[in-house]
Amino acid sequence: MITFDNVNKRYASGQDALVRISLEIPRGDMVFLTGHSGAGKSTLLRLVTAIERPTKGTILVAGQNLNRLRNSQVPYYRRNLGIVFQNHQLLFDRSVFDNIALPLSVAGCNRRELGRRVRAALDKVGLLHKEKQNPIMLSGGEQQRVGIARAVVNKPAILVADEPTGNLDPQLSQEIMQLFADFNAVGVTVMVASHDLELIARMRRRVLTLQAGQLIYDGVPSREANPV
Amino acid sequence: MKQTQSRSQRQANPSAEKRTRSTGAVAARTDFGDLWRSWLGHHREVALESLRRFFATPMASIMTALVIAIALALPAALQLGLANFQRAVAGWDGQPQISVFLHKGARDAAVESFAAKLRSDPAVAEVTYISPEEALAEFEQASGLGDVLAGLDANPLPAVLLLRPRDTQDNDKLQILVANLQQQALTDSVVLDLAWVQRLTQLTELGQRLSAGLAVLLALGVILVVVNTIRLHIESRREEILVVKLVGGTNAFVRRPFLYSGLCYGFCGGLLAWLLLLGGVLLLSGPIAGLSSSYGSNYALAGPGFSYFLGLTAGAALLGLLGAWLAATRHIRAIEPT
Repeated sequence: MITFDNVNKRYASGQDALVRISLEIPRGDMVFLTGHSGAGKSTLLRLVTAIERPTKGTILVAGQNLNRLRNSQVPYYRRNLGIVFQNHQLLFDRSVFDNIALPLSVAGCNRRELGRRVRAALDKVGLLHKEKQNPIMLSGGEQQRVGIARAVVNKPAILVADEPTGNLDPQLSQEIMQLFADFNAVGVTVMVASHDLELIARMRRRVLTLQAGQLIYDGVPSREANPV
Repeated sequence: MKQTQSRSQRQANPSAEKRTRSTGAVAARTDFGDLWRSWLGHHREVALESLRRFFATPMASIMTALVIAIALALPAALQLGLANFQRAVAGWDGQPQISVFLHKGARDAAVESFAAKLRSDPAVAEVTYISPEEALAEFEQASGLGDVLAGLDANPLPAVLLLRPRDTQDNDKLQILVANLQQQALTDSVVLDLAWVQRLTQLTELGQRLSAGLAVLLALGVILVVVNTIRLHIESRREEILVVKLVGGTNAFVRRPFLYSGLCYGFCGGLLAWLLLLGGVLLLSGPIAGLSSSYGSNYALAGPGFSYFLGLTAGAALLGLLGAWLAATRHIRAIEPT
């Protein structure tokens, strides 16, 4: 589903963010991306979401070569991705419902279908009763769940999350991770960047570890090896 | 009631079928009819939304619209003034006139027959004979120099034939007529009194060009005002634009609300400009009606009619749209997620 072939990313400042990264994430996989801050996690996700372009190498996502993606095609490419951010990027000038509806209205979904899908997404994250509220009224965990609902409302094939539990306590983090695992269970390819090693170990999924822009580990943590 | 129920059920059925087909992790697809309806719906929503935003900050919006209105009202007022001036002038005797000054020694009988001959000329519409005495009386009255003239031994003024040509538009024919008149034995000199008509036309032309030039400059001003306003709007909605781009919104999608805002500013500005003109005309029409009636004329100021309404609102809306487009295209491209 996601293939990196010898990908380099060098920023204009001359800093090498990623060095010769090659990896393969099959359809329906759930992968954690870990490493210290500045190791290149965010850069890797920015490449997958076509926010950045690779300096060298090839990236294939769902059979699409991102190097050949024209700027005008980027929006259409992103409609097949669900993106979750650490700071959840919710808009506080509209209701929870309208926040989640955004990817659908952008894609040109009709009203009836839109309401049905938004409520389905809200139901999945357990916030059906909060659709009319302003997200500013919600707790941190609830805001993050609204962010996740927005990411999955368009039924994306790939879900990408950058530090989705960054500001949450362990209990809430566990719930959020479980939510990602649930989406993965119905076939969504999930990629989560996180530095919460304890939590990642508990999830027993494939882990990619980056250090100084290089991939230094790729596998399921051995001590609790119990591949799903 | 029953009927509406069954209809809604029928409508619900195809979507139910679709639902069963599109479960699982398949990228959501939407068919073309849906896209078209959704596109129209989005336009309607965005238009309403920009109206709502316009009136959410009424003072700021009205100020911007007023700046646009004043910029547009200036050239429009000049244009309207010119049109009214031309109408007023058209009511006057704007016909060119040929004055044929006759030799001092010309006998009355000869003058009579010359005038009769001219009257039968198809190129001449009207001939008026002014005898030297009449000319003197008129001159005394008009110039107030009667005392000076009284000191002269003899009347220095010649007899004059005032000709009104039939064809006043064709300059060549007028020149031929003048040349013919100059050949006549009784003629001393001929004056084609075209100068003031020409001056008037030139003055009007000057006014037209002035107002056109002013209109172009101020239209540019209007565009710049809208560009700046929309740029501020875009800056204030930066967060939203970033999120929309991240969830797959195209530049066109992001740009749309700003285009409607520009359209809205322009339209309101044009409307206010038209109201300003209307107010001005109402303010001036009283005194002008009084003035013209004192001259025994029933001339009245023509107000900015429907054509002005249409021109100002549509023109200003287009300018607003253009300004918004310029601002949005430039600044929205620059806002990309990092």
